[in-house]
This record gives sequence, structure tokens and C-alpha cells, in this order.
Amino acid sequence: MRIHHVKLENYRSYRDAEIKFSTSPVKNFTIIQGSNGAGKSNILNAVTWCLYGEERHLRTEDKNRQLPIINEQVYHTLMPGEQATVKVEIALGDSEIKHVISRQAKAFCQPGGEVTIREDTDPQVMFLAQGNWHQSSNPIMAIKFLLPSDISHFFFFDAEQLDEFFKEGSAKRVKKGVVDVSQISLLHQTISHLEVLHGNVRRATQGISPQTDRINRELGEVEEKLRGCKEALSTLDQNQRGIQDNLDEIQQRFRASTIEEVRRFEESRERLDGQIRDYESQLDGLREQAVACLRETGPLVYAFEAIKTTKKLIQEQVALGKLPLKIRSLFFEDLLAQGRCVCGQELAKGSDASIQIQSHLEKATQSDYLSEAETGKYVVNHILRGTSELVEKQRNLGKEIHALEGTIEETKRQLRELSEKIEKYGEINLEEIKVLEQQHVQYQEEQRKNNQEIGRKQVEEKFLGKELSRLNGELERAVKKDQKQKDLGRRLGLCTEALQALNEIRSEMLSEVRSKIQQKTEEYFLDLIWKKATYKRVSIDDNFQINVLNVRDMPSLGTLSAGERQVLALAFMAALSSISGFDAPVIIDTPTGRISGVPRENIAESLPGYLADTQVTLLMTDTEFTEPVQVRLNERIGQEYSLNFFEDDANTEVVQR
Amino acid sequence: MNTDAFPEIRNLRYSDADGEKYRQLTQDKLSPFYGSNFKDIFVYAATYGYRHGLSKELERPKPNIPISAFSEEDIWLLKSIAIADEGSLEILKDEKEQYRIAERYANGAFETIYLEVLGGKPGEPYKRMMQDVHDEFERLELDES
Repeated sequence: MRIHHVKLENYRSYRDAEIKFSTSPVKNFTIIQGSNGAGKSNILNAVTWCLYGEERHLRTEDKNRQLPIINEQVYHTLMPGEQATVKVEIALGDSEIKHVISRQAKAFCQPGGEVTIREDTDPQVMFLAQGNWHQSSNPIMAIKFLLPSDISHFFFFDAEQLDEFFKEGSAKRVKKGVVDVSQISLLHQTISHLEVLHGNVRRATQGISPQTDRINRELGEVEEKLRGCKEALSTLDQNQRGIQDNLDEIQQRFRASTIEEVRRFEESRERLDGQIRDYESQLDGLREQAVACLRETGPLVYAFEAIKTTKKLIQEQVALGKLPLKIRSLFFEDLLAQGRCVCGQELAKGSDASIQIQSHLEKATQSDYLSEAETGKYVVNHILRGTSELVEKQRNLGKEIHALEGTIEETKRQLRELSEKIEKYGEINLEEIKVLEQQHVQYQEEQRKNNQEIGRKQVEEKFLGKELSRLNGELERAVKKDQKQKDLGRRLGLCTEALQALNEIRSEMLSEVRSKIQQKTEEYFLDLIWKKATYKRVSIDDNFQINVLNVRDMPSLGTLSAGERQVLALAFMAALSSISGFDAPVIIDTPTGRISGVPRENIAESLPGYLADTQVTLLMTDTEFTEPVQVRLNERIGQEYSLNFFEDDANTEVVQR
Repeated sequence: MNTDAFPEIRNLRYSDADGEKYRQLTQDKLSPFYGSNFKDIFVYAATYGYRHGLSKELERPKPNIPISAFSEEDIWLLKSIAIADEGSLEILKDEKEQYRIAERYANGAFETIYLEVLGGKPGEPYKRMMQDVHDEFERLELDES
């Protein structure tokens, strides 16, 4: 599916514009170039507003200025009683236009001169079927079929903002990506429906016996606590996002500072923060190794004396000539069963030979247990030999952990020192810097406390979940005890089992999608990244924590440069859109905003390859769309525009090149 | 290892009341047994119990840890405990009794291990446990010298 055109009428900086996109499968790139503030992001906003009623990529300055959706010039020239229309229209299809989606807003100038804007609640969707155009009676659903809102942010995105994607709390964002792409909303709904059904069946068990009443009471209490816990977690998550936004804003201000020292300070802080994150990842890996080693070493050490005793006892048997066993009882048993000795003599019942064999058999049976000791001898020796080696390994892992913890502490100390230094600098030179840094320290402390509280609540949530499942099991057993209630017991059991099975399916699906996304992200990242000899792998673990591993298998996410992080984010987005199964157009704002020089050219060269068969629109600044980039993309560009913003009439002109 | 001779022993047992705690030890991220099997906890507890002389009869035994899950090394750790406990290889004649001895040691030490891991002591359990293993080994080395 491709965008054929976007028409903009009185939408933000566009008075009246039409952009025709390249729909060629070969020349699949459309380039829209413009300087900062020329209206590039407004194109992305126009698309998301038209489709979903949301302008998702408003820059902070636009948010702060609270500019209306209607063109500023039109807004200011509206006279009392007059009205104006804001309209965005998008035409979609493959080789020909099959869907035209439009959304409008009306601006009214009240008699007092105040302008009110009313946006349409729904867009209008026209579609081509059997050669005729029809209007969709359910435009929201129609858009959902074309490109669901949940996953649209993997197709329409601002690459510069992606830099934030892999910072603090990225696991949650990665998980959301995986959940959205898995499109398991139907499964979610089924689970919710079953939970309601389960609740109803459970309520029917009230009054059966004092025992079921007690369990139901306890279940009610646990559910109440669990609800409270979930609500608290959601509030804490919200707080965490708020704190992170505040931290980002302060860091952004430091980065954009006109004072070189302040900018350098922020760079150093980000570098140290990154190092700490990497060290902590390494520490997690070492901990895992140490714990695995402990599970192996502990039993060997604790049983060491016992093993030595076993060895000694076996050796005694060897010294006595009882080991190795010469003949086992099985041999004599076989002879007696066959009725013939190995020398050919018949072993008739009661014969002397038979009695003699019988006597050998009795003796051999008595020492049969020693055959096991014979096998044990090798295992025991192996254990004894390996124990000191394992203890040594454990000791070394302990030392490595201790050293790494020291390094983390030292890096944190450097970070604190840096923070104190900049505060002092602010004291002497610029009070604002001092205040900002104090706020930064304060927010970090809040973040730490909030994180701890989240951890505690998560443990509580897990515990209550287990308690709930234990009580449900108890209730089921109690109901089944009553012969008259067997049917109810069965229904309860069925609901519980179905819920359990669906939850397992959900988790398996997520795990499968996660692994596919990991594979695709790695493929794209290694393709796009210029330091090909530095990085080896991308991993997304069970907790949705993403990391980049270098050739020595060391986690390196924290120390990636801003440009490298952007490449990772691009790779991740490309993986999500490719896994989603939707053949949708991709629009990227400032795709190489944080990347410069040769790396930018490398990306430009790789982009067509990794986004083959996809219609791609790049909204680029002049500094991004340099000559070498143009040369590398040239063969794939089907349409090219430049945006010129005229401040006098607040209008962006779209010029085809 | 020949288990066919005593087909009645397919599973090793723990006290029924400890089942939930076994599960917690394998499911709590704080635990060194996170993601492991019950048999790993059992072997650890049995050997720890042997070393510290903690042996206790099981209450309402629950046969829930399949012998097939143990490695040959695990099995010989358990057999060695029984051999050392009896002071004779003759215990190898009675597989059932070998495992009963191991079960009693595991049962005797289980609560200590559970409390060490999830009892709420400050610090990280795996570090304390590593230190204990390290100290024990040093003691063994000292005894040797």
C-alpha cells in the first residue's frame, strides 16, 4: 500500500498544498527537504491527524506556543461570523488509488472575535469497489484494516525522537512494541471475557458450604488488594514517565547550552551514565554465571568428605581383590537358565555341577552391589578432581563481581563529582545552571525511590497473583467435593484451565515475536552500522531489555553514540514494521538528524536496501540531504520536493524539484 | 545407574508443606535456584544437610522429584552421602534406603536454605552462599594439611 497524495488545506503552515508521492516500486523514495521550521514535521502530523485524529509529532516549541491547528494567518484574519475549514486528505492504494481518507476541522469566529475550533470526531473514508466509489459507514474500522493506530508509530516516526527510545525504561517501550506488533488484542479480549465469566461462576459457588464461603471471602480480599496494587503500579509508572520527561528536558537544555563547558559536562554525564548501564549489564551476566557455578560447586564441597569416604571404601575393596568383579551373578543365572555350562556339560537339576553353579551364584549375588561401586569409582574420582577447579572458578567470578561493583561505584562517584562541579560553576557564573543541576539531582533521587517502590509493588503483585491462583484451586476442590455441585465445579475448573492455557499462549506468542524482532533488528543494525568490526549481536531478553553486544560479547548499549543509538532505533522500527505484516508506507522525519559525515552517507546507501519494496518518504533538513547523500539515494528517488516557509503569510510553499 | 531393580522408587520426596517453598525458590529472581529444577535444590539441600549434620524425618512425604532428572554426578553425590552415613558400601544393596537417607538430609537443611535465600536477610543471598562454600572448602583444605 502506498500514499498517492496528501492534500493540505489551511492545516498549520500549509494554506493550500498537494504533495504527490512516488508510487514506483523501483524509485520508491520521496524526499521532502526543508530547513528547521519549514513544516516537515507538519506533514507527518497531518498524516497522523487525518488517520487517527492525533498530531503525534508536535515539537516541544509548538506545544509550548499552543498554536492552533488552523493556519496562523487564516486564524488571525477571520472576522466575527466568518468560518474557515482545515482539511487533510490522503489518497492510498497500490498502483491506483483505492482509498481516500479525509478529516476536517472548522474554525468559527464568534461575535466577540474569539475563534473556536471544532474538529470532526470521525474522518471520512471513500473506497473504490467494483469500479465505483463508496463511502465507508465505519471509517475507524476501515482505517484499522489499512493501518491500525497501535502499530502506526512503527511506520510514521521522528527519528530524532527515537534517540530517547533506548534510554531509561526502554524495556517497557520494547515490550509495548512487541505486544503491538503481535496484534494479540483479540486474545487480550478473550482473556478479559473469560475472567468475567470465571468471576460469575465463582460467585455462584457462594453459599454452598462454610468452606467455599470462606475461600470466596479470602478471594475477594486478595482481588481487592491486587486491584489496589495494579492501580498503584500504574500511578508509579506515570510518575516515572513524568520524572523521565523532566530529566530529558534538563539534559536537552544542557546539551543546547551556549556555554561550551556546560555542553561538555552534559556529554561527560551521558557517557558516564552509559558506562554505568553497560557495567550493570555485565554485572548481571557475571551474576548469572556465578549463581550457576554456585549451584554446581556447593554440593561438591558439602559432600566432599562423603565422596572421599566412598572413594576410600571402594579402594579397600580393590585392595581386597573384590573389585573389579570377576564374574557377576547374571552369568551364573544365564548358565542355569540355559541348562548347559560353557564347557558344554549339561546342568541337570540336582546334579553336582548344577549345585556347584548354584553355590557360585549365591556368592556372586552377595557382592553384586559392588558392581555399582565399580561404576561409581569413576564418577567419584571425576568429582574429586573437578571440585578444586570449580571452587577456583567460583572464587574468580566472585573477584570479578567485586571488581566490577567497585568500578560502578567509582563511576558513580565521578558522576557525583561532575554534578557538584557544574553546580559550583553555576554558583559563580550562572545561577540557572546551578538550579537546573540541583533539579536534575533531585529528579534522579525521585526516580531511584520510585523505581524501588515499583520493584516492591511488582513483588507484591506477583505474590497476590500466586495467592489468587492458590485460592482458586482450593475453591475448585471444595466445590467438587459436593456431589450436587459437580457441574459447577467442572465449569469452574474449565474456566481456570482455559484462562491458564490462554495466558500461556499469549506468553508463547510474545516470546516468538520477540525472538523474530531480535533477529530482524540485528540483521538491520549490522547492515546499517558503520562500525562493522565493533558490534556482533543484538539481544532482546525475556524481560524485553534490548542490548547491543560487541565482538567480545560485552553489552554496549549504554556507550553507543547518539548516532549509533539512532541506527539501532531505526533498525528496531524497521524490524517492527516488517514483522507487523502490514504493507504500509514509511515516513521518517529527520532520519539521520544525529548522524554526520561518512556514517550518514553509509546509512543513505543502506536505507534503500533495508526498506526495499516499501514506499519511503524521508523528511530531511538541508544538512541531512547533502550531495553525497543525494548521490547515494539518487537511483531510488521518484519524487523530490523542497519546502519554503514564508513568515509574512505563515505559509509553506511546496516546490517540486 | 540401575533403577529398574527398585522400580518403586521413581521419585524422590520432600515434605508436602515445603512444596510451595520449593516453587518459590525456583521462581524468585533473588534465588540462586531461579529457573532451576526442584532436583537442584534437593541435591544442594541434601549435601548441605550432610555437611552440617542436619537430618530430619519427612512429614507427609510428597514423591515429586523424578530420579530421571538427576545427573549421574548428582546420583553419586546422594549415594556417597548414604555410604558415608552408613560407613559401608553395603548400603548400595538397598537403593530405597540410600535415597531415604538423602531425603532426610535434604529435609533437615531445606528450611535453613530457604531462610538464607528468601528469609529477608540484608545483602545478596548468592554472595553469602558463595562465601559459605568458599569457607567450607578452606576448612577442608586445612583438615587435609
